[in-house]
Amino acid sequence: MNKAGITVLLVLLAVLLIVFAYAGFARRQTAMLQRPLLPVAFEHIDHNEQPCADCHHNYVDDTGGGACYNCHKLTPELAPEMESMFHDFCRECHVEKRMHAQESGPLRQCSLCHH
Amino acid sequence: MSELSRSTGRRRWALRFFAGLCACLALPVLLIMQMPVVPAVGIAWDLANLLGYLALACCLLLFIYAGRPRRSPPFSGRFFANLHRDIGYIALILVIAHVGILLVSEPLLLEHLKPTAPFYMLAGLMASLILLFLVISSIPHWRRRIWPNYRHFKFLHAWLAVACVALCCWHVLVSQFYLNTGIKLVVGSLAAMAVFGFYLWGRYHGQGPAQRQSRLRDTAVYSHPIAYGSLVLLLIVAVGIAVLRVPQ
Repeated sequence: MNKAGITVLLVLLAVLLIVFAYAGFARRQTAMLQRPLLPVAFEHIDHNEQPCADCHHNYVDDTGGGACYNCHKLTPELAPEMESMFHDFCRECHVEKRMHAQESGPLRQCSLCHH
Repeated sequence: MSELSRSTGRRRWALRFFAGLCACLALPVLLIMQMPVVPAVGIAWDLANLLGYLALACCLLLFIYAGRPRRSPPFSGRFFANLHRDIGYIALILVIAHVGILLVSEPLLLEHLKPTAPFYMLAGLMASLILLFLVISSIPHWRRRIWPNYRHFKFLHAWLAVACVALCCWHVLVSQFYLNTGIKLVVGSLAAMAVFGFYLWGRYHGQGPAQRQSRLRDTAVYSHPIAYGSLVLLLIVAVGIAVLRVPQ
């Protein structure tokens, strides 16, 4: 294949890549809204030492009511970020406690929370 | 110089290089784990992630030993070509072990291989697929079929390798479990950029005189024991660290 052929091939590949990336991104957003929630093992009694408003922020900042999922799963703007938001939120506290050699609960293993 | 002293010289260089290679691959990983200490999660989890970090270290090393002769060790050109290929295979073995151990110990991680996974996980998946393609397409039988012109292969191989390591770095930096402090993030990023810089400098400005005269001959065979020996040693060290880190 000559140089011109390779250039045309590379341009075509780049265009295809952009089209696939765009289609994939759009599909991903829809799939994230539609996918079912995983079961989460969360016991209030294990989190008694935490201030309530750390999780129930809506009672303080007036951003909604009811269970977490009412907003974080059902609002299209928040739903795609829900997984990373909840993971970061729980993990930050658990890792911090483990770093100080305190009882921390699970750190990263999926099956310890989602069972 | 007698054949005996030449042979001793070759072995001494090979041992020295083996020790240096193991240190280069293992030290950054140990520092990431211990400075400051990252809390242990579990043997399988920590082992899998150690192997993932070693795979990234191997990928970065492939840019330093990119198949061309280097000043040190003063071995034949064939040695460096073999070493590049062997370290590539080792990187792929480590990535397969990293993904395999995590999926077996935490099957729910399959969710992170779907299109709905976080972008840093998709970056890791894409990097693994690129690495697989790089390794398979470099096997001479396939390479000659796909690219009759060696220069085209070399061009695409180099840029896909850059893309692979960039995606790996994204995967590692954003997952932020072991690179858990600002200093670690900065040092890790600088180290990766230094390796890229070193590679690009060599690629566009040459690597100095080849010094063919002073190279030790019949040294190509040393690449296999050095590369796979370091793999075995690093696996033993990784298992040891993973076991010792978990609180009894």
